[in-house]
Amino acid sequence: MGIETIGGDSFVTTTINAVANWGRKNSLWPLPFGTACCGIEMMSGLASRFDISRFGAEVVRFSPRQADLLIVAGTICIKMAPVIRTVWEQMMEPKWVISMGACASSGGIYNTYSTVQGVDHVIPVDIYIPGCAPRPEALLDALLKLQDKIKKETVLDRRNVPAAERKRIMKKGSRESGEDYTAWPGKSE
Amino acid sequence: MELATIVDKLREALPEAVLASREGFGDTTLTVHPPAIREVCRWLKENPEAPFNLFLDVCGQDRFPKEPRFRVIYHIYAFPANLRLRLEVEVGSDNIEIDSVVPVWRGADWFEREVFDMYGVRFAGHPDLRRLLSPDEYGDHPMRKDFPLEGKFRIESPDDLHPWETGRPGGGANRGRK
Repeated sequence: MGIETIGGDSFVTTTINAVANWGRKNSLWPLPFGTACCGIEMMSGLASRFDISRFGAEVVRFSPRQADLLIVAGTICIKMAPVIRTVWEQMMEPKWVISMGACASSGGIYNTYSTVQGVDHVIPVDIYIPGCAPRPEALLDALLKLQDKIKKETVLDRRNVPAAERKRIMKKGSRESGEDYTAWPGKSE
Repeated sequence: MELATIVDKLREALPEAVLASREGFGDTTLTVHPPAIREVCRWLKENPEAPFNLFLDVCGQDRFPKEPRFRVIYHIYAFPANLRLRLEVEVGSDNIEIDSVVPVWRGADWFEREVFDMYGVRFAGHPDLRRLLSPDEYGDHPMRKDFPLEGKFRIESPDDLHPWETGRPGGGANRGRK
């Protein structure tokens, strides 16, 4: 942790927030996790016709160490669940997740033994895209919505920090939004 | 070379092996006596007139609650003569075992592993009979009709990513759930 953890959510962090969030939201490096047909739409969104680079997210990284946006595009089967969890854990902070399409968001039509009923059972998701498969514009819209979300975040947010450590940091100052979206959804800590 | 001629020659060469034959949608299906399946396949592959040199597919079929419960269906193709043939073998649920055809067609390897994975049919003489698609420790054969569509467990939290592994700490927590 750096200087931002000393003073909590004070004027120091708000100024850092403005600069850091501006940089973060305009240069997201996505890790494409395409496991089904949504992956095709994602590729289309990355390519020249729709061109996600207009929003600064064109530097596709296939190593989780270098990416900060995980795009889960496609069905996640039970054998893939531990894999995607590991990939997500390997990503550096700060990191965000887009769940693209019905399958990744809820299991979609596959209410079956082999499909995880939504990738949010395994990793926390920031933005869900509905559709089967969503058009590339929907992916771009999700990216813009994620940029809006990143704009409101503070540098105190850490998703990988153990809960006790996070509480210690958070106690030092109040959050801007008051909402702790670092917490695991629906999980008591 | 007509397919009917080949079938007649097969019946001559291996009189006990072919139990029945039927036509449907332009395809011929032979019902084969289960212990003779590898012999029949070898004869079909090595007959000089129309060698069935291409192995296309093996499927399983569960006819629960009928007996014999399972069917294993082979699709084969003769390139030189442009002939297709389907072979059916019935397998009862008391001893779900049948000879592998991998010694005849090497390409049957993964197809038989899939049938084993999905239906639990064991192929005797298969070089490496492991599950193909399901996790190795998965206890069930999911395409069987008495297996619930939604499975017996769900991955619902990152703390339990291997719920099929009952021996593992934290695993198998919600095993048996409807």
